[in-house]
Amino acid sequence: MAGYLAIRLFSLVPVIFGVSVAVFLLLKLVPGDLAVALLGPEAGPNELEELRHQLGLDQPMIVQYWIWLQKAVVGDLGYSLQQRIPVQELLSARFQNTLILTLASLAISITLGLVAGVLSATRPRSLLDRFVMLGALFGNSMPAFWLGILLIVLFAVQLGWLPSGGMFSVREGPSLGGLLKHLILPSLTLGLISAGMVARLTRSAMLESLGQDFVRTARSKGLAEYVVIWKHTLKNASLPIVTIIGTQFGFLLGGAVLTETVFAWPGVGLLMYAAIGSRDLPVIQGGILSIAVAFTSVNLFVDIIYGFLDPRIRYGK
Amino acid sequence: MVNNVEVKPRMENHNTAIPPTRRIVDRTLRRRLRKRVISDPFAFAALILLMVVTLGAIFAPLVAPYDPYAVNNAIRLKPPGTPGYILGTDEIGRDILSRLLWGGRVSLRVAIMAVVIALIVGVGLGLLAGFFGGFIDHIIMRILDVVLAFPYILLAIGIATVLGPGITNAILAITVITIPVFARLMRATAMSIREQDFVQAARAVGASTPRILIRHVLPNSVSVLIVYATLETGRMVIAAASLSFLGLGIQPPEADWGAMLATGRASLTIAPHVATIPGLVIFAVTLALNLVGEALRDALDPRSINL
Repeated sequence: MAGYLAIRLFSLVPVIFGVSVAVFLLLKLVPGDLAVALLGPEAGPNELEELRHQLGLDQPMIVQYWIWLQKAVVGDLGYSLQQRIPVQELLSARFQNTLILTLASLAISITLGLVAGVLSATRPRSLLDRFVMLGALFGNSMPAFWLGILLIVLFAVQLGWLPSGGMFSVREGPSLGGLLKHLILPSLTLGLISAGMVARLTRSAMLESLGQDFVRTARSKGLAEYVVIWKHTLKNASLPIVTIIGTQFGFLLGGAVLTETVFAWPGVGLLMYAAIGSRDLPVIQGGILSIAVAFTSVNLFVDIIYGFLDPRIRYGK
Repeated sequence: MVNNVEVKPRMENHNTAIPPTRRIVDRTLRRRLRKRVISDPFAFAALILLMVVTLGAIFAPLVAPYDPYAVNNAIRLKPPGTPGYILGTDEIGRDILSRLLWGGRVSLRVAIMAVVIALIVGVGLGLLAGFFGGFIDHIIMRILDVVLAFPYILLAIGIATVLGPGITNAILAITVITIPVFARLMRATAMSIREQDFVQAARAVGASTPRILIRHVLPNSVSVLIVYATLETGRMVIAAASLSFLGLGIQPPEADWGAMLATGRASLTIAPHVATIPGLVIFAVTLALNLVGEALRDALDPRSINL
């Protein structure tokens, strides 16, 4: 297991290097002078020169990258052009909110997708199966921001049951009940869309598993059908399901940017949306980097779970 | 056009026995296409919808009832069904139907252009990587890994931020995120074909490498590429709309489905149709592309049929 872990970790090195170069270039390739952006158009040439020197902008690109990387590793992502405070401070306050939304959506997506996928695999071509597959196709074709808007129109504007945006009620202040109430619509938006993809993959993985000999054996030795389905078959179908959950996590992190914008959920996505409006590049860069790092970590975690679930992968290569 | 293409098995590991229900009696491709795409009511309806939307976009200058940019504050936020304005008007009195028709020119062009460019670049990269292997393969795959290390919409946001607003830049931003799909597909096909007898035979009679790639390897994956191009176009319609929605890529007042939805959000409480109708169009077009794509996949590749 230790060897497997080491190989997985090592294989990440070129990817992380590539990601860091891409994110670094993001800020470098944008036309415009960072020093002018920070000091404003009235700044004198000496002031600008000094700031450029301070920021290392007069250095060669590779040196700049190295300096940036050293800072980024310890979380120093520069200053927001708009708010004049460290990007890291802005992000750390928001990141946990994005994580709350993502995890809640993931919970909805897995629960709904797994149950729907297993049920439709056990009754292929039934009415239920057709309904689930159609729902999955709908989810796959649904823009998250549109579903969010529909839910707002229905549940917040028309029915008035749930708040249309934000994380806490302004009048009542932060409370767990308020948080949950505000969480329902955004997490449902992302969760429903993602559940479709989980359901489809669970179904096909289950169908593949159900065709194998051990299922016949389990049935013929008299095991209850629900044990055969939910224990034996699902366990054997778990590998592709774990994969899809990993990719869904990434999808949800990316989708959170859009959903947070629709629901004014104060996460990294909403921060980035505001930054896009004011062209606050360090914040956009920091947001992308933090989500890419989270995504890569999840993928690594999924790989590790693989090794536990299927020893063949561990010993294979 | 695809009738003479040999059907390629998919590249995934189908190591388990195919259940009897999946076993499809060998039919000609033409008959399968007819059965899966034309006779299937869902796929057929989807095909019709796509044709209507495409024709509406192409002939927008002729069929649109009004100028999509004509502001008329006297008829602001009219609901759908208003005489003369079937789908109502937006916050500055522009006819929504006209804007949708014109918007199709932008939204569809962005998605289709992105897929076409990604198809060309991706197929090129995949052929190189899969056929030559070794160092070239390694470099190309590592670059694709980096692209895939970002949730795709995030990478598009990053690229669109660097490039700035505009249709061309929106196309470029979403092209990058769909290239890996085609490159990986092509690489897998090229790798599996590389060692087959007919490629060896072509080599033995002195065919050059480019000739082998273009005449022998590429035609063997045309059907898979058509399927994925259709499905990816759907994903790109949403990706382009997402960029417009976030204020990147295509900018108002340009008639674009995503941009229309974004500006319509401001009047969500008083006139929800302004934001929801463009969203419905994006959803319907994507759904139709997915339906047609899956029907094509079932027709071209019987082993992948969804039970």
